[in-house]
This record gives sequence, structure tokens and C-alpha cells, in this order.
Amino acid sequence: MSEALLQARGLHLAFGGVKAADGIDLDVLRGEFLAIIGPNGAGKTTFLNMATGYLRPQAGTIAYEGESILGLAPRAIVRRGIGRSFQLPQLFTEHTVLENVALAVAAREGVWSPLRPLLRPAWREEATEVLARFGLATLAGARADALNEGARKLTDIAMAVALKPRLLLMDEPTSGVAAAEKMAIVETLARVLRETGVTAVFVEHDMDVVERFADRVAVWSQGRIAALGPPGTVLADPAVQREVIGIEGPGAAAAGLPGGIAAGHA
Amino acid sequence: MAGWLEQNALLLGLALLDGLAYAALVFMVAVGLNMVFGVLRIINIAHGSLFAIGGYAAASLGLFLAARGLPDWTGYVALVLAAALVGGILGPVIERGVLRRIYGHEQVLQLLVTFALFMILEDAQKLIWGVQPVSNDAPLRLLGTVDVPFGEDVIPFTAYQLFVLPGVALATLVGLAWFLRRTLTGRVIVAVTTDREAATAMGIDARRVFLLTFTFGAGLAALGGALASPTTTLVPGLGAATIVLSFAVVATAGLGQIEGAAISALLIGIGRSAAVYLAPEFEVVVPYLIMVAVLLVRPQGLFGVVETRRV
Amino acid sequence: MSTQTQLSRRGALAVAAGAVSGSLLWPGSGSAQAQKPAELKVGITTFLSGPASVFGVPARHTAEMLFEEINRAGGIGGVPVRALFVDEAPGTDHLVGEFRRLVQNEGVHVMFASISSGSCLACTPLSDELRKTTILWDCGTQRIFEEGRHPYAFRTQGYATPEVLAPLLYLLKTRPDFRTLAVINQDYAWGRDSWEIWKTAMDALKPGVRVVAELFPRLGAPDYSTEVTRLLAARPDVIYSTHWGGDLVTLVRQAAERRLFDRSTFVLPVAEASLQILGRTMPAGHIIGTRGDHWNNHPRPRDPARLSRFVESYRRRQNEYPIYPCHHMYQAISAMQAAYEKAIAAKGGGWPNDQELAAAFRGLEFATPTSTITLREDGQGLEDQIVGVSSFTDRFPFAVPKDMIIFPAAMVSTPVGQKSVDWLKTLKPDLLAQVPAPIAG
Repeated sequence: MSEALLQARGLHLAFGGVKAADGIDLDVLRGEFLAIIGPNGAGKTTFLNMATGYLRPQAGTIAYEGESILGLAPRAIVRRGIGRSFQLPQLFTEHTVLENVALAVAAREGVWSPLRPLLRPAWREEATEVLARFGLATLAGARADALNEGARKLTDIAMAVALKPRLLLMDEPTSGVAAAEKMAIVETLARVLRETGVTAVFVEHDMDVVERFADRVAVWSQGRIAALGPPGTVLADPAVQREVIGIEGPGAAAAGLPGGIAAGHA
Repeated sequence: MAGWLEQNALLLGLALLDGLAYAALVFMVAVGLNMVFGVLRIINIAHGSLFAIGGYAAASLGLFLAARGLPDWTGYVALVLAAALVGGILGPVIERGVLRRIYGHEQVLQLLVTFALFMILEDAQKLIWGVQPVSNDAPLRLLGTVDVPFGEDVIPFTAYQLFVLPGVALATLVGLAWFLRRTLTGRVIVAVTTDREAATAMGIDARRVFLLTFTFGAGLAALGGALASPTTTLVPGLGAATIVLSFAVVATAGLGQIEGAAISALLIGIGRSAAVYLAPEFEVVVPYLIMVAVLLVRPQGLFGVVETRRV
Repeated sequence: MSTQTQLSRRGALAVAAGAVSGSLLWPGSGSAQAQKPAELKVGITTFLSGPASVFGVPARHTAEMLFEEINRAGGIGGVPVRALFVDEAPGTDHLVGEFRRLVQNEGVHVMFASISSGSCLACTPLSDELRKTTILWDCGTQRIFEEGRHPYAFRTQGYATPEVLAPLLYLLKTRPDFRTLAVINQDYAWGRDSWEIWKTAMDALKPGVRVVAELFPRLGAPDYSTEVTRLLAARPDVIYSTHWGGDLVTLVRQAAERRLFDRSTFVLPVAEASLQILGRTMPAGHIIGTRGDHWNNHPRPRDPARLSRFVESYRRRQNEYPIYPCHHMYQAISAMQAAYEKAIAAKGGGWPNDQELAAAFRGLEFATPTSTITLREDGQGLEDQIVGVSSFTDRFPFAVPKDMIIFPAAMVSTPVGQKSVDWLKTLKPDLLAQVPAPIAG
């Protein structure tokens, strides 16, 4: 059994009457791909925010590699080795795709160099390599604000990967990406991450993706983890299907539930 | 129209020359203000005081060196040195001591705080240099005049205003553009300007970028003041006048854009000079008329990017 | 026994009544100011901040210096004087509030107002309302006494009309053949009014002068390069400017550097206050004024010892020569002393109330180091104007006038009851024949 890279115990957080986290206990195991699914408003992004220092839980603990990261600023958590990509890609629109990734390399290596260029040989090489792995090599010279949704998403993830995190948290990595490209992107992503030994946690709404690529699935519901286990087991659970699969995915028709958020809880 | 142009071409040519010198100084102040806003997202009203104090310091340092019997060319060194000192000392002091505490606060609070800072600096300036006019025009006089042909007449222009001011402004523009385009720190500054959150999310220390940018901006303002000091007389109230004009330039340019600041400064500088010839009553208003005209057509300024609000 | 008691009580009452009624007969004893006050409070409004503080602060230093001297000598009528200063810079609303406060709460005996014409125009109605003697010690607007009666306001110096007319007459007398003129004045009341006065008088005395440029740059403009270029291109014979303070210093420097002074004759009616700062940068040979007659090298001051004592005391304290606001403050204080003397004498040694003090000012003649100033029945002071041409001597490290003409106040001031602009239109070129000859050297 792998040891826990990230350990959350008893996390509680309420926003004005709404319990975004209602006693979260979770171990993220080293080397695994953990999918997080659940209806909107269940607290999935909240959990990611707490793990990366953007939100502070009102009760509970989070430890990374055995050390508590509670109260650390996002920057410090990045330095510890936890990377993140966002639902809406946060790219630097004035920079090219290559520069965006190179900036991540620079952030990792140290940015204080007033006279030497960003795209120095070593970093240019590394950034190019990362882009190649994600199939973005042809877009290296394009400005970040000129990309389509899928390419922006990938670039965002590429930047997160370039930081060489040991744990990568991704918020809906395939949202906004055309269905035809989705699987290919996730394949690439999974391959890159496995090759580099990165543990991944990803929030996902597409059950096909979850089924194919997740080692384990955690089901979020109203601030609590309702189910946790391999996708085959969890996704077959009728309660889970009722609550979650109503949003998206092939199971909706089979379960006879109407698609849409109404199936979940507010 | 053609006849009018013919008649006035010479005058407009003169206006162009005057406008360039004026635009150069305006650019130096506005570009620093613009950079600071772009990165820190704070409208620094005290920026004008940095211009004024840079000017006073340059004049004092120049007079001091001259009194010690040093050769005249050291006056130019004094200009640059004074600007560096003012920027290098006041920049970090203000950023660390004051601005640090108001990042992320409401804009109204930030405006009030920088306004208070402006008043404090004005008073400090009066305490140190008094209320009587201060000036040191040695650097200007040293370079003499250039006789520009004007029909059958000649018009003397000072070499300083004709060459040094536009020259330094151009060098600053080019240098700054190179720095922001080609160096790592420059690229990081642009990244933080574009999306501070994303930069922080990558582990970039935004606060150090703030310190660096603000100090740099303060230095540019002080350099503007230092360069202006040989051409003018330093009196209380100079800071206030400068900041109002720089706002107009920055608003016209588009926040955070340095080329925009240059084009704006040129537009406003030449516009103002032309007004002195063609419609002197409007000379004071011209910068603001230009600003309003540009903003009506492009609310984000000439080169500004429309910022999408991140929900 | 009872009769005696009654008598004595009635008698006591009668004596008391007599005493009270007797005291009622004493002049002025019914008003609150019958007693000699513990100190004579003077409210002084002046510019302590902003660009005009170049005038206001030296004036304040002068007031402090002179009040100290007066108190050392026993005060005014045996009462020590104290100044309460108010800054004009925050604006007229603030000033009006302070004026009221000083009069009603602090109980000042006299007000001195102001440098800015705007301030004076706001304060004079207050002096009417509150019946408080107000000495207009420096402001120049001609409108004050021309547009209304102000029984409690007195201007102890000249004003815009003589200050502009005298230099014009000087120009017409010494350089009568000029054909073109340009004006460059600050864009506010003083700049505009001083141009209107000049133009009206010039058109009456020398019709047909062509105005080639009318430039009104912003007050406090740091740079006149474009204006100088335009004036170089236009080549007027004469350039008229009522610039002051830092603006004048900048203008002169920039114009001198680009040899504009070689092409045109400058007329600078209020140059004196900036000449020390300009030093040798001020070119020689141009017409300068001092808003009065108090030049450091006055050719025949009424009291040379007093003049040099004042100048030397000021120099010792401030390390610079006094400028015209200092002299104007001195004039206001001298007038106040003279008026109190006159009022106390009229009262047989008693302390004057507000009405009596104001009455003493009317028609007052008081001495200044350089001459005498008379206050007319409308409150306006008659101060001679000396205009000359800038020159350098060994005595001073800055420019002083030579070939000075002393213009008697009456020649260059608008007669009582007339408006300046109207009167100026009636001037005839034969006025020039009355202008005294320049005093050589």
C-alpha cells in the first residue's frame, strides 16, 4: 500500500450558512490518480482551495508529506511541491505559449535576473520539451490570448507540470475541450504524469474520463465524501448514480434520470 | 486649407520642436506612474511629489558640486545621481512602509493613503527647500543654443531641450521596452501586470516584484524631475500640477502600456504646443480634451487591453 | 435718626446715580472697548503655503520683526501687539470663516487682509458687516473701492491701476516709437485685469499699437518654452508681463537663455520681488516696477536712516533683502500705529472703539521710509510709483533700476468715484508732458 502524500483530517469550512466542507477525511496516496466527482456546489473546488492555501479551514488539519501545510500561503505551498491548474486557465496573455511555460520553469529556478533573458538556452529547451509532450510544439510561438479553449487548457496544465510538482491538483482539466480531443488530451496528460511520477488529483465531470484514467474516485456531496473507491465500484453504486451522474455522462440515460443540476443538491 | 497650412507650416514646425521637449518630460513621469499602476494596481498620487523632489534634489546637488569647484559636466552626473538617490531611497521606504499595508484594500482607501502621502511629501519638500523658488540652470546653459532657421529669421532653441530631453526619453523608452521584452525580470514584471494571481500561483514572489517596480517607477519620476529642473524653477505646487497632467497621459495611453505612454505623451505634448500658436486660450485644456476624445472612442485608452473580469 | 439714615441712603443712591451717569458722559465709555485691552490683537491674512508664499512668508517675517520692535518700545498706546496669522491658501471659504472667528471669537482689534485680490474681495464686505477696521495691505484689485463704499476698509498702498499705468507712461516716455506689443500674463484675475488696464490706457495714449500675441499660460506653469518660441517668431517691439514669483523667474531665465531680451523690450511691473533670485540672469535695460516706491536704491528717500535700518534688520534675520510685500506690511503697520496715535489723542488718552479707530484712518497721512502715504476719503491709499530700467551696480548683487521716474500717486491713480477702465479711456497723450524727467543714474 502506498503511503499518503496528502492527508486531510476533519476539514470544516462554512460560508454564510452553507457548509462547503463538513468533516472531510481523505488520504491521497503517492503515485495515484484520484478523481473527485460530485454535483456543483458540493465543495470540490473548496477542497482544492484549502489544499493549495487559498482558503483556510475553520477546523481540521492538512498535511503534505507528513508536515502540516495549514495556514501556509499559496506561494509557500507551491514551493513545497503542490501544483495546481485552474478551471479557467490563467495564462499570461502578453506572452507566447513558450514563454508561459518558461515562466513556470523560471518560477521554479529563480526569477531575479535583470539582464539575462527569459528564454535562455536551458530553459528554452526544457519548455520546448514540455510543450512537445503535450503536443503543443507547433503553438510555441503563438501569443497565449490567441489560442482556442483546448490549447489554453493544455498550456495551463503544461505550466503546472513545468513547476515539477510532486502532487498536481487539477480543476476540471477537460472542461471546455471539444469531445473529440478530450480523450487524447487526457491520455497525454496521464502518460506524462506517470512518466514523471507525479501524483494527481483531478475534479472531473466526464465519467468516461474518470472510468478510464482514475485509480480511485472520491464522491463529494454537500461538503462530505459520500463514497471513495475504484471507479468500477463507485460509479456502479446506484446512490452515486442518482446524485452525481445526473449531471453528465452516459449513465444518465441508462439511469433514466434527467440530465442537469436538479439531480444534485444545492 | 492648403493656404493656411503653407502659411503656418513654419509655425507648426516650431510647435513640433517645442512639443517634443515637453512630451519628453511628460513621458518620463507618466511611464513610471503607468508601470506602478500596471503592477501594483495602485494609483499613486504621490508620484508627482517624487518628480518634484527629484527636481529639487538635482538642483541642490548640482549647486553643491558647483560650489565645490567641480567642473561643469558634473552637473549632468548630479542629475542622474539625484534621481537614483531619490528613487532608491524613497521608493523602498514608501513601498515597504506605506503601500504594503494597503494592497488589496478598497481603491478609495488607496487613493486616500497615497494622497496623504503626497501631502506629507509636499510638506517635507517645503521643510527642506523652503518656499522660495529654487533653480539651477547650469546644465541647460552649458550646452548653449541652436539657431533653427525660420524663414528668413532664426529662432534660438536650447540644445538641452532640443536634444537632451527627447534623447533621454527615447533612450528610456527603448531601454524599458528591451527590459520588459527581453529580460527575465522584465518578463516577470509583465506577467505580474497581466495576472498577479496566476503569477503567485506559480510561486513567483509578487511582493518583491512590487518593490522593484515601485522603486523603478519612483526613480523614473525623479529622473523626470531632475531632467526638468534645469529648464524650470522649482516651487511648491509643482508636484500637484505634474500629477494631474500625468493622469491625463496615463488614462489616454491605457493603463500599464509603456509604448502607449510614449504616444500619448507625444500627442499631448505636440497638441499643447500647437495650441499655444493656434488657440492659446485652449493651451491648458488641450491635454484633457485629448484624453476625453480618446476615452470616448476607446475607454481603455489607446493601447489598453479590455480587462475581462474574472468571476 | 431715621431721617439721617434715609438721607444717607438716598444720598448714597444719588451719588451712585451721579457716578454712573457721569461715566456715561465720558466719550466712548458706553461701548465694550472703553478699557485699554491687555493686548492689541491683529489678525493678518497672508499666503503661508502654495506658490504665493514667496510673498506671504517674507511678509509674515516682517510683521513678526516689527511687532517685536514695537513691543520692545512699549507697544501701541502702551498696549503690546500680537499677530494672529491666517493662511489664504486654502481658499476664500476658509478665509471668510477665519475672518469671522478672529473678529468675533478672538476679538481682534484690526484685520490685515490680504495678498490675493480674491481674498480681499471676500473680506471687505465682512469688514462692513462686522464693522472691523480692515487694512488691505497688499492686494491690487481696483474693484474694491470703485464698486462700493467700505467705511471700515483702508488700503495702505497703491493698487493695480497706478502699478500698471506708471510703467506704461515710462515706456511711452522713454521708448515712444514702438509699434508692436505682446502680452504674456498668468491666466487668472491679476493677469487678465492687469492686461485690461494696460490695453485700455495704451489705446488711449498711443492708439494703433498692434498686439501680435496674447498669451495667458496657466498660473504656476513650469515651462514657457513654447511661449518663448512664439514670441521669438513674432518679434514684438515690447513684451508686457505682470508675472511674479517662480513664474517670473522661469520666464526670465528661459527668455534670456534664448536671447528674447535682445529682440524685445520687456516691461515687468512687479519684477522687484524676483530680482534677488534672478541675480545676474536678469538682463539689463528692461523696464521694471516694484508696486510702489520702495527700491533699495531709492534716489531720495524721505528718511534714509529709517530705510536702511529696516533693510538691515530684515537682512540680519532673514539673510536676504526685503521685497515689496515686506514694505507693504511695514506700511500697513505704520498706518496702524499712526491711526491709533491719532485716535487716542482725539480721545484725550482713552482707548478708541471700532468707530473711532476707523475715523482716525480716514484721511490719515503716515510716514514710510521712502515718502508719505495719504489715505483718501474712499479708503484708497496714494502711494508714489517708481519705475526704472534694470541695471547693475556694485552695491547690490541683483538688478536695481536706473533712470528712475517718480510718478506722483495722484497722476496715476483713478480719481475718487470713477472706475479705472472708464477713467483710463479718457486719458490724453498730453498726459505724457506731465511725467517728470528720469533721474539720471
